[in-house]
Amino acid sequence: MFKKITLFASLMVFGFGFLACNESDDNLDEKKEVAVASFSGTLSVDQLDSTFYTTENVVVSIEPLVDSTKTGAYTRLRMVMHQVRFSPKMPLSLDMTVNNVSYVANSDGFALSGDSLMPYAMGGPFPSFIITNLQGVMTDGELTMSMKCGMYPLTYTGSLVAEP
Amino acid sequence: MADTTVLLDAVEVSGKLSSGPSQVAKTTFQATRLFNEQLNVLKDVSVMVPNLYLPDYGSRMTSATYVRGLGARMDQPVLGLLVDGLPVFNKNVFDGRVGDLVGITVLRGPQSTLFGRNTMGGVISLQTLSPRNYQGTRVRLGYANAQTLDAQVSHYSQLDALHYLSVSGYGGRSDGLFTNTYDNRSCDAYVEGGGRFRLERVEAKKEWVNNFSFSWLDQTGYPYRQWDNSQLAPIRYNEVANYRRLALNEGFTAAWQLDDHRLTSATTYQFTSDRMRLDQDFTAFDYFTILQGQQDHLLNEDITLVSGRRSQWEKLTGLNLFLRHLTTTAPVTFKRYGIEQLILANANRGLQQSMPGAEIQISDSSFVLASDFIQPSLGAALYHQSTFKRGDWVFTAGMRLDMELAHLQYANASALHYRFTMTMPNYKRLETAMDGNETLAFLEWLPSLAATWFPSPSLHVSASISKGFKAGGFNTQLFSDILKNELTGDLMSDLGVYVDGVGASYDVADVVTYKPEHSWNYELKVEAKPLKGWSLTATTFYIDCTDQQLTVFPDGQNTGRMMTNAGRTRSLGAELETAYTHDLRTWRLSYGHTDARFVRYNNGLTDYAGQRIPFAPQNTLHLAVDQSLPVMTGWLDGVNLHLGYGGCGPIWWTEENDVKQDFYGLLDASVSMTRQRLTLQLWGKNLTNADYNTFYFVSMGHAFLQKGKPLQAGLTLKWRFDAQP
Repeated sequence: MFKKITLFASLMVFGFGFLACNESDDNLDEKKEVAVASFSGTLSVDQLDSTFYTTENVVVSIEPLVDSTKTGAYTRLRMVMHQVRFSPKMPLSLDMTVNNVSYVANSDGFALSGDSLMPYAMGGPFPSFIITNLQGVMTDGELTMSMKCGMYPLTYTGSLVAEP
Repeated sequence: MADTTVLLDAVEVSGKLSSGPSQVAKTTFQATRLFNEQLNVLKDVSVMVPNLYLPDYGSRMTSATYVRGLGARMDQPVLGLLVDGLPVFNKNVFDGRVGDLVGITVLRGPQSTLFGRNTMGGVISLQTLSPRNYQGTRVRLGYANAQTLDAQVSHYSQLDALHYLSVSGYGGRSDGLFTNTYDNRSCDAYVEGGGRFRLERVEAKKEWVNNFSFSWLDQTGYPYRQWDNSQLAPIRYNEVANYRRLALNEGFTAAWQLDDHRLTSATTYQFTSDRMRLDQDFTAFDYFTILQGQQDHLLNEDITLVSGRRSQWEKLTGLNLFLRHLTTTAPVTFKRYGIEQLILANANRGLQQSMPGAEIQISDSSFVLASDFIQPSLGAALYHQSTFKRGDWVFTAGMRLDMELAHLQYANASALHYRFTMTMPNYKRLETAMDGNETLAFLEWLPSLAATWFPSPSLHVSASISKGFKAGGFNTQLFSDILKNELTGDLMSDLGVYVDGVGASYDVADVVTYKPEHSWNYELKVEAKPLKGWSLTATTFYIDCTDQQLTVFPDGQNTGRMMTNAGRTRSLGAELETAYTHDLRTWRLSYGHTDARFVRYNNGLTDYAGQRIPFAPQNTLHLAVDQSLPVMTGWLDGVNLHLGYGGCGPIWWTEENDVKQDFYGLLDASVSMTRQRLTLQLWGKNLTNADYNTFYFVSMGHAFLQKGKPLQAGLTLKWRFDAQP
């Protein structure tokens, strides 16, 4: 049973709770685009047994998918969580990718959002662990987000560590 | 001329190896003894020389040499080998037949001042018969158990007043003494052949010798037996294992004498092409195989000037240059069982704990880990040795400046097709490559000092201090393991999965090279002739060695071997050789004792300080008696009887000293009957069929042993058709 929990927990990570953006945002004078960036921080996964599994120094990288300069302030990005574990009993760590996370520029930076996003890991998609209710905020120096992966909620807070 | 004639070979001519008293431990074998004791190849003199151990295992490519606790299974030898004064660089050809041997000289202790790299344990010099010393035709035929046959024909002639020529050829075959029970193939059968062509020109003040030889060998090999839980399994592996070798050797030596100066030039070109095929797991399962091919070119020039031989100050100055180019291809083929056990089991171990039912799969029935190496190297050395004679004393001081540059270019690659069942419906091609270069440079000062006191013609006392040097090198044999781990790591990385302990575990830059080995050898020798016919030599030695090169086996499911450097070792011991001849009977005894231990060696896991150095025996012993019986019958002129007993041990096989071979001894005997120019010999080796092990190693966590050769017996027939009766 715990293996299943571990598996579910591991897949929860695929989606990050980027703060929801209003897709019809009319703040058109914001033409900022997300830059490639990496954050290092704390990941906390609700184990659904009144405990949380927390790991430090989890690296999340961000990469824009669409050039937004001509289409407005709204676009999408790819998020990769590197070498993460989601349960204390999980014997391996994974790289997990979530594509098509929406973002929109605002006065603080960017608001991230997503729903029904397919996580990818270990060479392919994990449809059983769709990312829902992803919400997040990305500023110049920080990334904060929450999401639900399958039925497991998780949160992440990280600081900017490198800009390629 | 009789067989016992020993020609001064090029080394002796150049003054490096005098035929008189030596300041270092020296053992000589002359032709009669070589024949009576069936000493045909280098390994046959193992343990007959104190503290010299040349184990016979694997194939003829395997030429591990151990002297006084020094030595290693692979790469750089601790002993130098000379054939007719010309150095043999490639250890792969040390175990080869040299026809018409008339003498073997073994020097123990560092000879690095005069002979340079890889002679820190000593030098073995083989001398063959010269047409200058014998003219005629010689035929030798032999037969022994395991359908072993050998034949040799040689012809020696004087062409004119200045020129001498010899031509010889040999061939042999054997069914072998060991059988692989998997398919009843022999593990040590062979077919071989070779020849030698020697031309000499001798004038009053100059001479030259040209030696050309070739040899060819095709043998099966590697009678290794798995040894787990103290149970020794029969030889049983499913893949072919064999070794093939072609060796060419061209040597030209010229010498000029001008007053009290002698200038000698020795030029040699050696080419070796060999191929080793191994079932590398030595089990009946389809793990993996290796096919290693090497092509080695070596050009060496040694120039010496000896002067003052008739004065109190004899000077020997020399220059040595060498160029070497070695190419190696060593593809390792992973078979299906190996893929499942060594790669997939390892990779899926972590995955299935968190994702039951999901696994990585590889579609290939086999795949190749390709490894190619190019190793050019060059070296130069300048050396000088002065010998001062004053009263009853002789003092010798020498110094060598040795420079060497060695380069390794490696290219390794592999590819396979894999998928992860949970997420990948189709197989994906994964490629791994690992290319690079490494360069090593050595600059060494190699001094030696010796003093000998001659209080009487029958007593010599010598003391010597000398530095030895064994070159560093590259761990090419570890690359298949490195690449396998890289491949596993790349596969996991391609999947985005990380499991502790799976994937690359080697720091390539750290393990690909090993350092040179250095030693200081302190030696005291007494050589005496207490009675007529009785000679006695006793030697004690202490060796302080830094960075001793050791062959070790990487931990875990790995199969490679690698050289590493132990921090510091020391070896101390004593040697005794004595012979007594009376009434056509000769008794011989040689005994060597070595206490060789690690002083400082910690491999990061274990501290081995105080443990014995593996693979070198603690004791060597040889006893022999030879009796000549003149027989005046109508059909027999003489009989020679020989009885010998040689043994060694204990030998510790591991750094932990937890596995060892106890002392063992082998009994040999021969009876030679001569009628005019015909000699018939009946001989036997290991007559008691003693059970002993010659080799131990670990592969993939399994221990393996090789048993020593069982009883062998045969007969040899020799004819001589002398040109001048």
